[in-house]
Amino acid sequence: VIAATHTFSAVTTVGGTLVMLGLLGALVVAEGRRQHRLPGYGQAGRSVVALLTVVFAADVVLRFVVLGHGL
Amino acid sequence: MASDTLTRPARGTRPVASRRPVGTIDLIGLVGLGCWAYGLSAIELGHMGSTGLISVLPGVGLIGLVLVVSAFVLQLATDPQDRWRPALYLVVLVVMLDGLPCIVESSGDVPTGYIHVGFIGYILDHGRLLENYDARFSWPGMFAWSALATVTGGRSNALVYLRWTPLALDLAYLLPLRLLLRRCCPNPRTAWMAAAVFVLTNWVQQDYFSPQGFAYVGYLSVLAVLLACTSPRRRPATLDSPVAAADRRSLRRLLAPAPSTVLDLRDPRSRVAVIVLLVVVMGAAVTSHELTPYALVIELAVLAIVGRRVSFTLIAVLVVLSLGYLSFGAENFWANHLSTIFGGVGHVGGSVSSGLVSRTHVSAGHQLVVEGRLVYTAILLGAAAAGALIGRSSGWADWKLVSALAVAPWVLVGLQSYGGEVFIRSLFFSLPFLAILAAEPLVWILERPRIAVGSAVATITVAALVLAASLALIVTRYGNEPFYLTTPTEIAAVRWVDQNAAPGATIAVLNQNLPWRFEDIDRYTFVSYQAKCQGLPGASCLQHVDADYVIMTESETEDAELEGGFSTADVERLVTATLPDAGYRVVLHNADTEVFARSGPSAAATGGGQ
Repeated sequence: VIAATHTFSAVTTVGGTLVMLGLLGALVVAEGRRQHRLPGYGQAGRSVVALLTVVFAADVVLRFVVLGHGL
Repeated sequence: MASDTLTRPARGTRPVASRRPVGTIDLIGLVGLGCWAYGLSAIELGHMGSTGLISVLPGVGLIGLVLVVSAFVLQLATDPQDRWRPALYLVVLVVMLDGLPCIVESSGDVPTGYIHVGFIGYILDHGRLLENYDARFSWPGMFAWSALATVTGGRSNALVYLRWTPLALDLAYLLPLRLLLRRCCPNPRTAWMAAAVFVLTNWVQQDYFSPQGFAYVGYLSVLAVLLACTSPRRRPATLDSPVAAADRRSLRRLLAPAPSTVLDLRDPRSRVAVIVLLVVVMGAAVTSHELTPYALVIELAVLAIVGRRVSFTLIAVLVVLSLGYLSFGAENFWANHLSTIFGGVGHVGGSVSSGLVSRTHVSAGHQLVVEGRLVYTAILLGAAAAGALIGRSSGWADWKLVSALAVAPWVLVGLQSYGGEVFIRSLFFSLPFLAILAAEPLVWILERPRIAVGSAVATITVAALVLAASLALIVTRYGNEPFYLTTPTEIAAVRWVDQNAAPGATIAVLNQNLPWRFEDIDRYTFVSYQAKCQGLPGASCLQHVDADYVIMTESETEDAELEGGFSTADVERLVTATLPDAGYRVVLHNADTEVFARSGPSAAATGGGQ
């Protein structure tokens, strides 16, 4: 169980961090475009941001549920 | 001066600042500063009573405070648009009041700061963090930067920073605060008065060598930049129709993207640079302190919804940073005990109980300080409420936004008890905006002498109120100094134990109000008897803890008597009977400290401890 927990922690940390960095980058670029009065992302871009958001949120919640209760 | 001369100038223009030679007001301030400085030289810290520093402040020092406060109020009454005098008086007030213990005491005063020095020492010694040791180590940003500063400064530890950090941070707060107040306040006089109210009501003393003290600079800076560089986004004209008005009230409209929330800077590259800098500052706050980012999220949400100044994208960046760091960077803190984070959600009663009720069980002498804080905070909140009403009736455009920013941080009370400190933390976060509102009644008195009383009487009234606030600050902020006061002999005794205890030894103290754990935090086990035994230790508790060394300092004794409610006889009995009966003997004794041990060398044998 301990080994499985460590593996889960490592995988979700690495994967979640990558997703978080992607999401942060997308959000900062979106804000930069706003400051330049450029149009926002198109439909495809918004879908990618939404997907990253969902995956990031799921990763955070899953980690809290699994690791927070010491499973 | 008539109030119509104080309206804020149009954006992009500067008011014509007056320049006058040194006059009577300046002389009053100068004499006041001299009296204060002379008074400080006569302070006898050894005679401090249960009310703290106010009990040893000489009369000449108080006269100095009266004069400086009078000069500040006279300056605001006669010429608030002076280019540098109000700022100078404000800096003098900060040095006099926030710098008081820095000047009169020889070491840093808040004991927790010494533990932070220990964290930094571990990073310096090992180049990494100590895992599973302390929750604060899960947010190590400030500790890591301080370690870097320590190395860069050629120091072996960070003790040198403790003494002057409060004054340095309080002066640093003034810079973003000034920017924020210039933008939020209806006129210059209110802006200066609000800055003074901020200084005079900041009794929570979170500006010591702590992560929250440093993160607060970032908190103020982000809010100040966003308030200074943005304007409320305007509604499209088409939304003024009755149908559109209904749509405006809908949640969808409220949360809709705001394409016009662009920083008021001409150069597009500057706008992007500011955004990047804001994200960097947010990142520094996120990795340094566990609570500040969430308070900032709340305030940014208010700016977006009520102020219509910030885009939700920027808030999303901060939320992702905060949650991401909590999930990945602070896993040590919450893994296996998630209830430490979410257990308090909705338990407002628990926060009230741990934050207010439990803090009122103190000795009679110290009760004045504890109750004084409650009363002083209540007065501040009342003055802020009055200020909101005055602002509303006078047509001040931003009264609603400032009120919302003042109220919003108190949401934290319903989310976390934060070890019983959520009230003072919420107060700390809302203080800039409470200060703006609370300054309104004072300015109202100054600017409407014909309605209320004569001009001179109005000025004297405001000066008296500001002076009362100054004295209240000294009582409430420095009421803990009897047990926060740290002496070189206490530090020497703790250092002696650190040098002589065997690795793995258990070091016990009565309570944590002493300068300890600032060196080799991983070598020993540290125990507080009052925390472990829920009171003074008896024979069974001593046996249960089984400490190798017991450190008893003057600060611990004062804390046990003033905050713990134990009598002098109780503490005396512990030292003279309970500890010796349990087999402990005195191995070091100096002016403020006794160190007990069951075995090991004595100070006389090692030649240390003084």
